[in-house]
Amino acid sequence: MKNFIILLLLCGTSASFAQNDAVSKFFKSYADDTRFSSVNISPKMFQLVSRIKINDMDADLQAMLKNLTGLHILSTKVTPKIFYKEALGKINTKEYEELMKVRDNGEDVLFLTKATTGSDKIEELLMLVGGEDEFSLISFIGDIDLNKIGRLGKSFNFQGSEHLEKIKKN
Amino acid sequence: MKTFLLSFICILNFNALSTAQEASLNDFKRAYNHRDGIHRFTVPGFLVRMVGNIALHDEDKIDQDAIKPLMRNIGSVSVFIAEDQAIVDFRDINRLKDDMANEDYEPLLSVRDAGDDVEIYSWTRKDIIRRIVFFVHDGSDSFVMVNIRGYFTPDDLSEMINKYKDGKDYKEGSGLKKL
Repeated sequence: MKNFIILLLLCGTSASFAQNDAVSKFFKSYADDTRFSSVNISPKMFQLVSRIKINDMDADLQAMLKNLTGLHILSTKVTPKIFYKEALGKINTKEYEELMKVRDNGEDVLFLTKATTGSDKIEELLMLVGGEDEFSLISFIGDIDLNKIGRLGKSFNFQGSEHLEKIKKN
Repeated sequence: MKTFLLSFICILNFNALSTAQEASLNDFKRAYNHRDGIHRFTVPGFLVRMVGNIALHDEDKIDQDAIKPLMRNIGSVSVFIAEDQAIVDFRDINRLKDDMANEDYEPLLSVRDAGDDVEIYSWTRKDIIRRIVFFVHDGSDSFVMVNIRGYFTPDDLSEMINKYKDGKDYKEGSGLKKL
């Protein structure tokens, strides 16, 4: 019986790893593809940035950066709708909760969140943008405050970042 | 005599420390040392400052104010250039990155855009950046690796960013509004 429970626990753990891997597998499969632009910011970088004191910087924004541990961006202008559909198919939507879906100027913008098990804290914000002109997949990892993440849209300057401002205070 | 021995041991230890984090980088460079199309050189800190000051002479005052203090902290800069990317086996580069990870180098940032690929790694001790390594793949042409040795604290970086920021604010007129 004990062995059975251990086996069951192991199976459960590997299943959850497989789910976690779906997004990173998507990133990895296209990270070296020349059709895509990609940006990866490591936890170390956020750690360094959080120690830099910038005059007149919004304290909320600084706190937000302090709590981020990773940022992955993948974007392309080649067959964006096809990649958008592919991403939707590959990402396990049971794992993520749909926060918001916006259709703006022919572009679909989907915000998904992943909460820490047994808590309301959001550990990942995934943003998918699919339209005639661009496909972007942006993943923020860390302790995310949805009320403040929209402000990053103005601070960051990359394809698709402007959509972050669509996240409004509930 | 005792002082001499102690100094000698200290120098030996310092040398061992300064090269311990670069064994993987040195091995990689050594493996490609005598191949055609490979160029490598090291510029000592004083020369970086000298050349930097000349190069910055014609630049904006903002650039001069922000970069000059940071240049003081540069110990040396090593550059490795492969004229043609094909000269360097990408498996060797991946192995080098694995070895660097074992030496506590950590990735900071990677950007790929229009075939250009930039990766930045750092080696830090107690929040102080001691090594910064850049890998640059320029489209299908060249591969460049730059290793900057120095002593960069978060305060140094804050100073640089704030000088840029304040200079820009002043240039755009918001500095006047603060008066």
